[in-house]
Amino acid sequence: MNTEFWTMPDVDDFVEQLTAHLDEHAARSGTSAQPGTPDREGAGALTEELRTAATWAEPPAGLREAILARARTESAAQSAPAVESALAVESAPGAESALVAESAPAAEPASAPEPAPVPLASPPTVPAAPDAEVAGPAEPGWRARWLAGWRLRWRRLAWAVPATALAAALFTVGVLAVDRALQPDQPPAEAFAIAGTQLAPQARGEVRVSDMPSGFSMEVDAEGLPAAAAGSYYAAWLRGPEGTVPLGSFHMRGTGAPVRLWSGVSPDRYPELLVTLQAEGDPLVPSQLVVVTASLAD
Amino acid sequence: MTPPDPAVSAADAPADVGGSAATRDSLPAATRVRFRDGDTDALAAVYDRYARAVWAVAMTVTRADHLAQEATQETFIRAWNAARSYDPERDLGPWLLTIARYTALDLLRRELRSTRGGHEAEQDGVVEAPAMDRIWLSWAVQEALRQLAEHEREVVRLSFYEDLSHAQIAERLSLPLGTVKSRSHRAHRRLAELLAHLRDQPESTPVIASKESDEGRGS
Repeated sequence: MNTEFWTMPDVDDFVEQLTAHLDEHAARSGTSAQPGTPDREGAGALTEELRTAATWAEPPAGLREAILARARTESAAQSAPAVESALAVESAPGAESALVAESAPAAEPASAPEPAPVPLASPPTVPAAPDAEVAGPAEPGWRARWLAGWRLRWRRLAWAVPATALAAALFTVGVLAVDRALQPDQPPAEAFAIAGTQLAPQARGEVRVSDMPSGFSMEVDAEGLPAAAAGSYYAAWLRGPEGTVPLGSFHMRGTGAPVRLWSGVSPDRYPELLVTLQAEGDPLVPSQLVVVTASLAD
Repeated sequence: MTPPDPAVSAADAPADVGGSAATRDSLPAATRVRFRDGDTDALAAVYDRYARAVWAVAMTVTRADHLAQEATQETFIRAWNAARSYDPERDLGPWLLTIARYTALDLLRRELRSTRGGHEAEQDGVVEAPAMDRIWLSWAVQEALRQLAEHEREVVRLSFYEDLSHAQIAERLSLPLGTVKSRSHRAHRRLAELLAHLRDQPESTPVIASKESDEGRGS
């Protein structure tokens, strides 16, 4: 048992021994002695860190721009009240000053809404440039008047927005109703209980099986099945006397929605449902890690 | 702008994450001041400087790309929102590490809470938070790796991550075997020097030695 690192007297010795450890590890790399060989000098955590994919991974492309766009949006939202007050002062002598004053309270800091979060790693959806332009202290008067006039016109048409939304909603409901009326009746689903194995003892729920024109729809509604860790996933299978058929894969990292799987074979002939935990990159056969089972026999 | 996260205080921040080497490699004082004052260009510079380290912490804690992505974004936005409370006289790294750690742990807790089934989150063995020393190690390793020369970093990556022998690295890089060996040794020595501060843990538990030491004490 090595405790040299624990009682290291000074930095130089520490550096020497850590260097030696790394050298030794590198000398063993790519050889048959590498797998399972324990770290001699107790720098296992460092070695493990250097062998981890995340250590060498770059943050996703687009994340930088997403963050900057969100920061700019929040910045612009903060400067909005100053813009409004500057406009009000500048256009006060004009005919639309009352309108600007009327709209000013909506732009007070206390009532300024939180900007919507920018989607992760996506291009900026709310460009800050127009706000930045407006925010300039030397705003020309014609521009302020034009903006105020535009707002006046917009207020006159404000009734059209809810009316259009209502009309669109009614139209959509109508289309859906007609579409539903023309659809053939859905076949009734048959529900079977699912149960977790010792690997997921909390898992429970049901699977609803429907005989559809394109195959058997299997909707798994599971509770208590933990999210699959990074690098792993769940795979569902139907097993019977004639073999095992894959149904699909999922990870359970979100919540709320059942998992929809499809089978091209009848549960009558493959009456056992299995969910296994699989490692990415492993062969596409059921692993030994069965987490959920269900019997689909009538 | 949202108020500064009360959970993120100077007292929580490690005193010298990355050690003197990392401090030497910190952002220019002018950039830190501009960051404190809300300059988005300074935020871009902060991202460029610390993104990999924050990403590594986020991955170490959450172990899932989609969560790490969210944690990284939230870390920089939280830092941005709390920038007024940041003292530009101090290194930004420890402060950012603290925010990154809290943010990633928050996200992880959220994920645990959202596990359905009505049972306690702690029962979900698939997802568990790593210890602080592991998070600190991830950060420190990133800080050290970024200070290696590109060719040194590549040799370390090929050796540890791709598990190539010196001969295989020489073939891959079209270099003489002796060059690879000497370059590898230099990179390891430099890495060891940059990580030397890890033996002086605030909790008196050397990160690098903790696993072995625990074994030693247990025997």
